[in-house]
Amino acid sequence: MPKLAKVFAVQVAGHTEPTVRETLRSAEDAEVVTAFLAGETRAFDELVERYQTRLLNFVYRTMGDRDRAEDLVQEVFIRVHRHLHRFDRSKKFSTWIYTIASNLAKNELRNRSRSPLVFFQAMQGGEDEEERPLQFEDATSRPDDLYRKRHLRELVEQTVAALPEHHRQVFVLRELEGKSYEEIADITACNLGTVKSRLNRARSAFAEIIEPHIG
Amino acid sequence: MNCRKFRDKHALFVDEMCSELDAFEMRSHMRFCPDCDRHDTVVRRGIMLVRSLPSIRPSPEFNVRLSARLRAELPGTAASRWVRTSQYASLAAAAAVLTFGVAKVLAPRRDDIYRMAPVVASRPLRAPSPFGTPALVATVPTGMSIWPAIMMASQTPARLVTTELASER
Repeated sequence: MPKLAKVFAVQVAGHTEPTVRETLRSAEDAEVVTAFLAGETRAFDELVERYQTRLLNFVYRTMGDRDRAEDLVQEVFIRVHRHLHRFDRSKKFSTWIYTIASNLAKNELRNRSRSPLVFFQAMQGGEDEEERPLQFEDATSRPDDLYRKRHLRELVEQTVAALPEHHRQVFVLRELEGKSYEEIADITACNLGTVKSRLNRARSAFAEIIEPHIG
Repeated sequence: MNCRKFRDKHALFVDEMCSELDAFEMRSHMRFCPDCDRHDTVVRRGIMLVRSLPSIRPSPEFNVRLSARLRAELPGTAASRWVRTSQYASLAAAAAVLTFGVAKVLAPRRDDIYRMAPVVASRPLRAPSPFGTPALVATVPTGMSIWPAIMMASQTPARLVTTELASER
């Protein structure tokens, strides 16, 4: 592992901190993991930096509750930190971390369906979401365009949220996270055929709901 | 190709993962089936919309909260556990080397060992049989052994008494 060797060479040579960080930034996931297991604590910061936004979006789109999604992503990193020594380094780190996130999100949805209080809180959270300024709106657009875009975005989000849980997870992993079919099969612990059929159904269901609105 | 097959293979078709032949059949089917053609268009537009959803960012407190939680976790971190395991392994190896060394020092040297002459196991000598003496055996083919046998038989009680008396003494 030349890059990892470089990390330690830099450390031994007593170079400044940014150099190590830069080296970690350009390293592969596997190398960053190895560096962390060798005692380089900054390697974990690099993993957090790489995955926090991706995981937050994945969990948020799977659950539809932003605050809770953030809590769950924190939990994902805690578990990674706790169990990284058990990670099989012949596998892809991204698949492993997404599997942890996927399992936590599934458990959360299962618990939520049993607890009316949590469901109520989630609904209240949804109202707060309405108050947030939209990040993607272009201030130079005409007001009716803005309204249309906002409406369409809400519709797309609602449609994704309305998909059955196991279809939604596959759909989000494919369309938003850009995962391959094989990776989705690993993350969701399904076979490839199931992934294909779930994705097909999710896309069809999504298209059916969205069709009247996209002309 | 019929509509059902078209819908079944549509995900792979959209992701350009089906064979050339399948792709050709799908395109041919779309030319003659307005419903499937429409389905394809709507799915592709829907995917475009989903992919253009804005990405959300973690809140500013995210890293602070995570750092605090990780600090609380610190004694049991993966890295520290891994390092600890390596330390245990090193300690065990060092202990093994030390034990071997001590055993080597304390063990007697080869020169100190008192060497005894090798012991060769030998069969104990049997007491000579009073009956099968070589003289008797030599006379058997000639028939002469009859007489010594008679003589021996006549002396037997006397021999037994002698033996008993000897044991009592």
